[in-house]
Amino acid sequence: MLLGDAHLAHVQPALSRLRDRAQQALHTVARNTVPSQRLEKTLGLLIFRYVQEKLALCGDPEDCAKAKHCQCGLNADDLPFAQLRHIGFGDAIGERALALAVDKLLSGPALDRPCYRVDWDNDAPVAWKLDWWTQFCLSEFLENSVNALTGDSKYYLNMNERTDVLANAAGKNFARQRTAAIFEYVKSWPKGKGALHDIGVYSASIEGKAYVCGAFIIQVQTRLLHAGASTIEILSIYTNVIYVFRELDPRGVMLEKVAGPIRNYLRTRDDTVNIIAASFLAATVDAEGVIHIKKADLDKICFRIAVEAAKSSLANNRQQKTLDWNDMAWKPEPVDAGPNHKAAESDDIVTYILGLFDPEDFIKEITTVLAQHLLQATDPEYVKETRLVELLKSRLDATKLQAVEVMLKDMRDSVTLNKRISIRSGDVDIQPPAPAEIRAAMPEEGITSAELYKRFQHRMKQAQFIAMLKVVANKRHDLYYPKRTRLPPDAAARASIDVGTVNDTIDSHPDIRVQVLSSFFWPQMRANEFHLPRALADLEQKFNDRFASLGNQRKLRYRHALSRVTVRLALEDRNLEHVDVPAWRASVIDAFLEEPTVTAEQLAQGLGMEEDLVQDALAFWTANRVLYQPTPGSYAVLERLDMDNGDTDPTNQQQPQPVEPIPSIVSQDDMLKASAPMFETFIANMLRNGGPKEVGGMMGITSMMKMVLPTFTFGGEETKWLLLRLEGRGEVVRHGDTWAAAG
Amino acid sequence: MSNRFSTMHQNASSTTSSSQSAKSTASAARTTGNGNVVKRLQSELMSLMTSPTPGLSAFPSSTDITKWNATISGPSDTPYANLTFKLTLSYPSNYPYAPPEVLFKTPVYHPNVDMSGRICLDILKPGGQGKEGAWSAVLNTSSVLLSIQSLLGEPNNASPLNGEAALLWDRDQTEYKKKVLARHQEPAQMEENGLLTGF
Repeated sequence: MLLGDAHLAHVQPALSRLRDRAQQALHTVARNTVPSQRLEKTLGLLIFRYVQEKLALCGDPEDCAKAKHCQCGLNADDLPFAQLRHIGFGDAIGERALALAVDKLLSGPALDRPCYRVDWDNDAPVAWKLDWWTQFCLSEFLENSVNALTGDSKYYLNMNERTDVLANAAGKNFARQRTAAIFEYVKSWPKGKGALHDIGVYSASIEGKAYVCGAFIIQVQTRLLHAGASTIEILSIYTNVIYVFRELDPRGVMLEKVAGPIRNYLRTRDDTVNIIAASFLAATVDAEGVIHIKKADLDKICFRIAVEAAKSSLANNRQQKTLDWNDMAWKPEPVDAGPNHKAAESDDIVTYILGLFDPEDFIKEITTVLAQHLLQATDPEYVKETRLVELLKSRLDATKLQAVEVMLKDMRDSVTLNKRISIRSGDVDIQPPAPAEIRAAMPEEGITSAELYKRFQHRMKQAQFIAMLKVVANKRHDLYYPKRTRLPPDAAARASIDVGTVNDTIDSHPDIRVQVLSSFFWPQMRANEFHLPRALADLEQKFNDRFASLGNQRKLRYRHALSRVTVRLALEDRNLEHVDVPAWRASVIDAFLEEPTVTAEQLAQGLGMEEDLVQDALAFWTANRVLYQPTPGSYAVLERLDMDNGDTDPTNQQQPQPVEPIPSIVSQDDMLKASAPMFETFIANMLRNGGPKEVGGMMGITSMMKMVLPTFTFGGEETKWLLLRLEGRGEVVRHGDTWAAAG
Repeated sequence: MSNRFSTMHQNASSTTSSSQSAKSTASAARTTGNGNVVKRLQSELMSLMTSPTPGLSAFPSSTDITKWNATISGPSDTPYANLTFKLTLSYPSNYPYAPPEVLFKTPVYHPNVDMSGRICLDILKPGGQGKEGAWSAVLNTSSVLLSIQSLLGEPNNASPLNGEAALLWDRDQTEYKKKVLARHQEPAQMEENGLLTGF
């Protein structure tokens, strides 16, 4: 019995050893029959699945948020690593499987957890949270797992391995994940720095920079730079891009890279310059520095540009940095900068926006927009416009802005001129000037009394004049300067021509204000001619006479199509006032004084006006329920609202439809169309004498046209359009890319 | 005796506005260094384009505005009828005080045109006191081309460059026309042969 027990006790371990050995042999056979790579993969996947599940369950994001770092720990004890070691998987296979699992984990699931959502509230990066988690939680799990696999507890990760290998891999994947949505961040939350900081940590490396730039360019190209995006949208995203990428990389190298495609695309849009210029003019800054933008403008301008332009300083930022040998802040250009990288002279958004275009093109466009703007401006001081010109002068070549300055000066001169020549049709005899008028006539830089008296000599005696002058002027060294007292604003400073029309009972003494422009410096303007209402035409003549009597040599040519009129209508049941109506509309409504019912053709003939202007005026007055159509095609004044029995479309009557304003500056397109016959003659002659040519290139048709004809300011597209017209008439023929004279 | 076409002295005043010529100086001055020539040529070009003369046309050949190519068609009722001639004009830097240099690029059989296309015409020689030429600053490109066109139909046989042609013109018009057609090459034909180069 004892022996038997002893025997049994002896046999038991032997048996279990045998079983172990058999088991081990079996495992070895199994291990050797299955390819080890597959085994590793399957094992790795199993570990990964387990850890993923564990991570999804473990930890409370709220707790992590409170603790300011992610505490979602992993427990290696739950995994059967010891058993794995037991069956012989504890060596390389188990370790590799573990490595595979961790790699897979770090490429996604570990980063998707709620703990690492973009922190929009605090604008803080979360990348360091991940850093902390990998360095401590994940490393600990790894150490425990490996130790369990190998059976000893010698394995530990040193600091280098923790940061360089683990944390870097996690950080890189994390930033790439963020980069996948970078366009969204730039577009919607440019000021939310959370996500950007996460990317910024990664993009500090050269590899990271290239990756972020490449990813962003691809996203921009697929999501923004297509026909479906409006220019305003692209421009506002462009400003965001500038803002965000300057934040990411203050040296501007990344910005230079990503902005390229957007800039190139923006250059191809026709309305870009126009929107930029309009945006520059949209914002006003009041005394407290608050920026105001008219609501109506918002869909025509880029809000960000308007705000930036209003904020930007007028100081001259164009310093020649390279020439300043004493510049202690000088830095060499970044190593990864492209060959045409230029250190930005001043790096605010305005500079980047202005840099979008060739300065000359930009100035040309902005001149057009500014001209349009000046003609409609009501502010007699032209604060906004002056600011814009100063801004441009500080950023662009001031010598090229001569036209703009002349335009501004014209407008200011016109204000003074109108103060001096204040004409009311009621003026019968010449009245002595009021002190305010004398004061207004004095330039800021002073004037001698004799000089000043010349302007008033036909209106008052000299003694009287001197007495009055002493009231309103200070004398210093023979020169008189206006006294800086506030006088009540002059009635003549209204920016419109007042005229009473139709029933002519309210104001039969209209007053006129004329803006004298130097035609050479202004862009081409509408020159439609038509007859003005009699009262206005008389005023014009009077103004001419006064203008000449002031010693002006300049010849005045009126642009009636640009005039605006305040019209007061006294109808039987109501009085209406329309401010700033284009003059042709006033002429049309005035014509109804003589002829109660007329047709559009009769109006066009009687007023010598072009058909489209007549139609525009009729549409305007009909929409405002001043005119109606008693019979289709003829118009009459709607003296009482109930006269119109509504046989026309009622919806049309109820809401005065907005009438598209007709721009006062001739657009490039219209100019091209107007001069097309002449351009075509030039091209046909060029091809006949010079032989076949291509459109582009140094000696191409476009550059030849520009050379021989300074008014030809168009590009290849327009040249092609002209050529196609010529081809349609059989005057030129096309051979591939070259064009030749026909016959 | 030389050919003189008093009707040719038309006024060369331009229709361009002051703005145009002022701007043009800046853009084209670099090619010649002489703004006045550029200005003058630009206004001549403008008047040529706006009031073209039938049978004549001319245009600057490159970005250098002082070198032009011109095309004239032979006057009807002459041996040159229905033929097209290419010419080059090269303006000196003191134009219009000196005449342009005009050459036929198309081979022409004519008493006053030599084998290399040079033309014997009084208005193409410097004028003024003590000089035999008749160039004057009131002449312009279009009058020069018109004179050359007329010269085709009315050769000046008193001072021929091509003596044979002068003799033939007086004796045998049929033979003369044969010679003209034998020498002549249409521009398209010359282009194919790579002969027409212009400037």
